[in-house]
This record gives sequence, C-alpha cells and structure tokens, in this order.
Amino acid sequence: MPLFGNKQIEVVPDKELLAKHAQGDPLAFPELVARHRDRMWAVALRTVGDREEAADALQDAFLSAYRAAGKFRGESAVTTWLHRIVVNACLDRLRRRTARPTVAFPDDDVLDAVAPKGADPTSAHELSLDVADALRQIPYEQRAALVLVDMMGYTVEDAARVLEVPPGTIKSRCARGRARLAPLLRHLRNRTDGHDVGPSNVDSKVRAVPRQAGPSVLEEGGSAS
Amino acid sequence: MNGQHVDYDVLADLAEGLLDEQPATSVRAHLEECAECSERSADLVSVSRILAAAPMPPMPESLAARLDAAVLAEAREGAPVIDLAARRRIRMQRILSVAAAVTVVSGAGLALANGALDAGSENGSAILIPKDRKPVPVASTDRLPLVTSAVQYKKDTLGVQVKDQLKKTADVRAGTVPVRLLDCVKSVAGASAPVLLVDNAWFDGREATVIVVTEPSSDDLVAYAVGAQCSGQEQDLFATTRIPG
Repeated sequence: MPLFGNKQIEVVPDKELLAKHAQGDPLAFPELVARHRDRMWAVALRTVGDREEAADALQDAFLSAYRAAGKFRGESAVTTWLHRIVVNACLDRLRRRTARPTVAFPDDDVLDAVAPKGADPTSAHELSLDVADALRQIPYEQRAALVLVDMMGYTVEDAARVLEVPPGTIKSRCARGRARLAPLLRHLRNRTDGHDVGPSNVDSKVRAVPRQAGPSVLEEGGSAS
Repeated sequence: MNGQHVDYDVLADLAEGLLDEQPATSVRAHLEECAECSERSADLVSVSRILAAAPMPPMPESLAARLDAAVLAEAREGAPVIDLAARRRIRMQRILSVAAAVTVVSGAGLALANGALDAGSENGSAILIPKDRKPVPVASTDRLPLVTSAVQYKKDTLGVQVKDQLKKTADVRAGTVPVRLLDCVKSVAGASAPVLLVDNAWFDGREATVIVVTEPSSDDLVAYAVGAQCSGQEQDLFATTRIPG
C-alpha cells in the first residue's frame, strides 16, 4: 500500500480501519481521514480551484464517507473509494457553480493556498500560481482527469476507477486538457527544463507518485480496466 | 498530409495513443521534418512535467481541525453504521459515558456570572479577538465556527481556558453543525446569540463541546458548558462563566 511514497511500517490496512469504523470504533474513521487528508486536500484544491469551496467539498466528502462506510463492500481499494467520494463532491460543486452566475474567481487566497510552504518562495510559488490559473481555464472534467493522472501520478486505470469512466475516456480527457494547457503553460517550459524547479514535489509533504512505477498506486483496485 | 502542420489536439492524441495507425504514422513523419510542429510537440510533453512539478500543499491545520470537528459532531449525532449490533454498541457506549458536556460562551442573559470571573481580568488585558473574527448569529445559519480540541475545561478555569482557546483558533472557519447542537445553542445562549466558537472538547473529565458567544450590549463574552443531552428541549448545562471584554 505505498500510497505515500514513503514507507509505512505495519499500519492497520485501510480496509480494516473502515471495517472497525463500521463496527462502531470511534477512532477508526478519524485515523483513516488523518492518513489521507493531505492527498485528498491536494486533489480537492486542484480540482475545484478555490480554497473555500475545496474545503467545503472535503467536508461534504468526509461526512458522506463517514455515513457510507457501511456500504463499502471491498470491491475496490479504500483509497479509490475515498478519492471517488472526494472527486464527486468537487464535481458536484463545480456543476452547481456553472449553473449559477459567475463567481468572482481567482483570488490571492487561492493562489496562496496552492503555493508551497518551503524554501524557494519565488520560482516554485510562481509555478504554483501559473498552474492553478491555467487549470481553471479548462473544462472541469478534463481538469479532474489531469489532476489525478498528471499531478497526483495515478495510472489511467486508477483514474478511470476513481471517476467511474472507461480508461479511454480518461485518456481522451487528458489529451484534450493537455492540448488546451500547452499554450497556457508554454512560458514555463524553460523554467522546468532546467533544475530551477525540482522534479515532483520533492520538498512538499505530499509526494507525487511516479506514474510509470510498477503496480497500481491505489492498491489492489477492483476489476481491472 | 505529410506536409500539413498539426495542432496541439492531434499531438496530444498521438502522445496518448489515441490516433489510428495511419494518421499516427504520417504525423510522426511530419514531425521529423517540421521544426514548428516539433516545438509544439515539446510544449505538450512539458505540460505533464509542469503539472507534476507544481508543489502540493499539505492541508492547513485549521481545515484539519474543522474536518475533525465535523466528523466528531457527526459521530455524536449517531451516524448510521452498518449493522444493528454496532449501533447497539455505540448506544451503550453513549449511555455509559456520562453525558458529554457542551460549554457555551454566550451573550445571552442566561449567563450566571456567579463570581466565576476568571483570572483573565486581573491584568486588564482585552480578550484579543482578532478583528476579522466576527461572531456568527446562530439564528441565521447552520454553520458555526467549529473545532475539536482535546482541551480539558475545568469549572474553575473555564474563562481563562476559553480565552486561550479563542486565541489558538483565530483562523477557525465555519462548519456545519448538527441540528441538535444548533438547537442546544439557541436554547442555552438565545435564539440569535452571536457565536464565536463551538469547541468539541472535555469538561471536568466528560466529553464536552465549548461554545463562545459575544454579548452585544457589553462586549463581554459568556461561556456555557452543556452536556451531550443538550438540545432544544433540554439545556444539560454544566457551567457558565462571563468573561469581561
């Protein structure tokens, strides 16, 4: 279960925690949430693009996960299930937003929210802002796919399980999204070609998972593709 | 179409393996000889790299606290679990654990202010509520400034502890509060009490939630401690204290 790149030594598996929660163990769910919160926050923040709404979406998601835990039948990995609930909560909010008149959007709060905390306040910070800004300009379904695959490092198959669409749909959403982002991120090419900006999230607490690396990031998963 | 330029969409499809063999071959052939399109192709390759390089921030502490509070509040509401046996166990745990206490600090006239004025007034320091921290009128919303802490509130030090907790939770955000707790706040602190903080914590060794409200007429704060049975019908009030502003 190498969800966080770093090794976890002999922890209670997610599925067991969820089962304990369903049996009434009051400590199990908070532990599950604590385990995945940074990753879920990263997914929500990037997918929604707005700090406040991402926070609200996460709260919705955690509460519905809390209530729905009893329905979890183990047909997929807990992390897949959790991601699905979080991403759906985000997409729900985005759909509702598009139904409403425009909301004032990019604000400094959001930009600060995606900014790194560590050293190097300039280049990594700007990179974050530019990426957040560009992501907001593409359709949210493409964004959701790209957040999972390109930013979080999940395989196309894992992303397909989370979003409950065929892998081919993930591929085409990623392709459409990248095509739209290419002109928007063009100016960053040189910045990341050099070593100004480290590879993936080296200094950040949440680690990206190398996409090509071996087995599925999201544990055993369900029925394959 | 060997001589034809290709756009980002075609190149993105090519990279993702979505083009049929025929067009894929000719696009590749074109890329061999067209600097402009190779350049575009390189733009595309860098998109994934740039996305992967964007730093991921950890969840802010204030949000983590808010989510904990929401989950705990949900737990206290008796969220459905899978089987009845589990539910029964939870109910038993609830009955066994002496009623959780809720401490409410409010501006309503219910405050007893019975000499429980705390040490905080001794140095005459103001309560130091950040200026952007506005109380939320309980009547207007089901979202109140909600946190979960491990603070062990004590009857004698309630006021000091509340002030301390207010400072620590300066950036608390509003979270959804269960209906029962909402009704409890209204019943204890008044239907339109301006709530500064709801803290799921402990009081004299019992599970507790602390709610802090301002008193508009005096700038004072008032704190109430109430138990888990606190609702619209029953106050289940353990303690209360007034904190001079």
